[in-house]
Amino acid sequence: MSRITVSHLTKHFGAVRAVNDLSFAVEPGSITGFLGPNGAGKTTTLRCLLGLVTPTRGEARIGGVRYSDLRYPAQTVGAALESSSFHPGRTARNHLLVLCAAAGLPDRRAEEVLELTGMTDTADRRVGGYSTGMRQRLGLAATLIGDPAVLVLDEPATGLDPAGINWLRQLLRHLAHELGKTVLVSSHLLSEMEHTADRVVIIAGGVLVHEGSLDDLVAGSGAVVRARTPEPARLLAALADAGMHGHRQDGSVVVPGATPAQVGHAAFAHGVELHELAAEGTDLEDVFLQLTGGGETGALTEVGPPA
Amino acid sequence: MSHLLRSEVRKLTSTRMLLGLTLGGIGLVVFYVMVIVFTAGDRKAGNDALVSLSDAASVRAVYGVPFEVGYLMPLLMGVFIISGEFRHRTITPTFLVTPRRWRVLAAKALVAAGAGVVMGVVLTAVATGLGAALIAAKGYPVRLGSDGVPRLLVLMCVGLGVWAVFGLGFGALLRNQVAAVVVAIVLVTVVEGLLAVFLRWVHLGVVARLLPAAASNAMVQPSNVTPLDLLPWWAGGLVLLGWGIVSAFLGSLLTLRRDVT
Repeated sequence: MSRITVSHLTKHFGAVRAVNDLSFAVEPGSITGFLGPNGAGKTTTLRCLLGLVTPTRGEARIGGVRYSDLRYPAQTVGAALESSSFHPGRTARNHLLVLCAAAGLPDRRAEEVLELTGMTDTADRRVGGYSTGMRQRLGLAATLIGDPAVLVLDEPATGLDPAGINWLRQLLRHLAHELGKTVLVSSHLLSEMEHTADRVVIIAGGVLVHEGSLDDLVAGSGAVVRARTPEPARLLAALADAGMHGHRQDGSVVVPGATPAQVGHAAFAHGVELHELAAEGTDLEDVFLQLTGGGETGALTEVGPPA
Repeated sequence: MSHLLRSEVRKLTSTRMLLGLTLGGIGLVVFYVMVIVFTAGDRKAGNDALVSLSDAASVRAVYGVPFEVGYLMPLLMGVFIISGEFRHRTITPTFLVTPRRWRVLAAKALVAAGAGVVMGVVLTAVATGLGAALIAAKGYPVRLGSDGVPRLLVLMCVGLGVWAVFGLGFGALLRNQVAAVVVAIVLVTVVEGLLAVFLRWVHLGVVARLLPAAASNAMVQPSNVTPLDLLPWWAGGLVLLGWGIVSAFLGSLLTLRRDVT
């Protein structure tokens, strides 16, 4: 019902290929991290999904329906795309009341989401005086106003302090795991998503580089265990006994797809002397950098294409 | 549609823009009414000043100040109603809640027209009240019930609503707020005047009468003495309405198609 499907999505801005033949799916009841460095095409993808940008080719659907064809958009999808899309001279409460009116929702929904995001006390102040963290909270309040089954959040953690990030994490978990909502959260920082996302979709340069769990990412990344020993032949035999496959490299033994604990145990069981035992390339951040090419991937900035 | 109208009214009344422009308009109207009244001469006394409060035309010019200068305020309001959404990026949540963009623009046009009329009523009341008081104090007839003045007062209220819709079209066409404000004001106050001079020079004065400010001016004129270079009052009103609809329509067409990034 509230599954997000992106199929063969392509968007060119002039000569810039922001997104290229991108396909992935986002399931209900889980938090999906949408990762990629700045300029990877995340914001463009989300804007295509939400009907704000017309794709060059391909399409994105929510529960099988294009966003622009949704009968009650605010009651179906809640989206926060920028850290600030508020009039600085309008109060938070009035911002929410404007949305309530447009969506045909009762005004009490504004009070309810203010309470949910802990903003009741500051609701009558003009947004111009808000900190980035308060704007993020207001943005989140706006996404929840129609109690939608799908949430799409672009970099919601930006500008939040550690307590705020923790609060956001708890809220997203509650929404996805207990209320069964579909949650798609973008970020350019893997570390933000590492302990929050159940699944990740990673893009770089407008193309998909990984879709699945973070564990898959590590397993498939070529991470190895390196062991230094004066008896490499005995260690290889010990490893073979334990069902692992190693090989010699630069005077040490390299074992793909294993943990240091497994290799250490095999060596101990056969009385093989070890001088060094280390995991290499298992740092998630390294894997992420490797996959995404290590930084800015295109001429496109995260704010969007040139007007 | 009633939901959207309510939402647009809330947008307009929850910032200080409408109040600021109305107060600015009142200041402008008070200033011009006083300038006209205090610089007016008296032809009977042999003064050859351009304006004389003993003339019906001059009295109409005093009451017509909201139309002669005050129209800039509803014009700016129309521009701000749409360009403010692009400037503060509120257009994103607006189009997210209402993906059928034409409905948003239609609601904005209706609310702009309504707010323009409200502004027109306020500015007309100020100009008429202050003008009549000053004219009476100087001992001239106030002519509030004659010489086409009642019709002028009603037309001004409606006309300022049309100027707001015209501004909305400008704001939708040029999404940059500063550019839209500058272009709208320069076009209406400077370029139109130059264009009118040029058109008359090449004997196309008929076309010059159809320009927005000329059409607007035509509505201030009394029916029995339509000057050669102006349309009759009713035609001026229709032409101005046409400009409002055309600019709002063109602006909407662009806004409907463009990517919101």
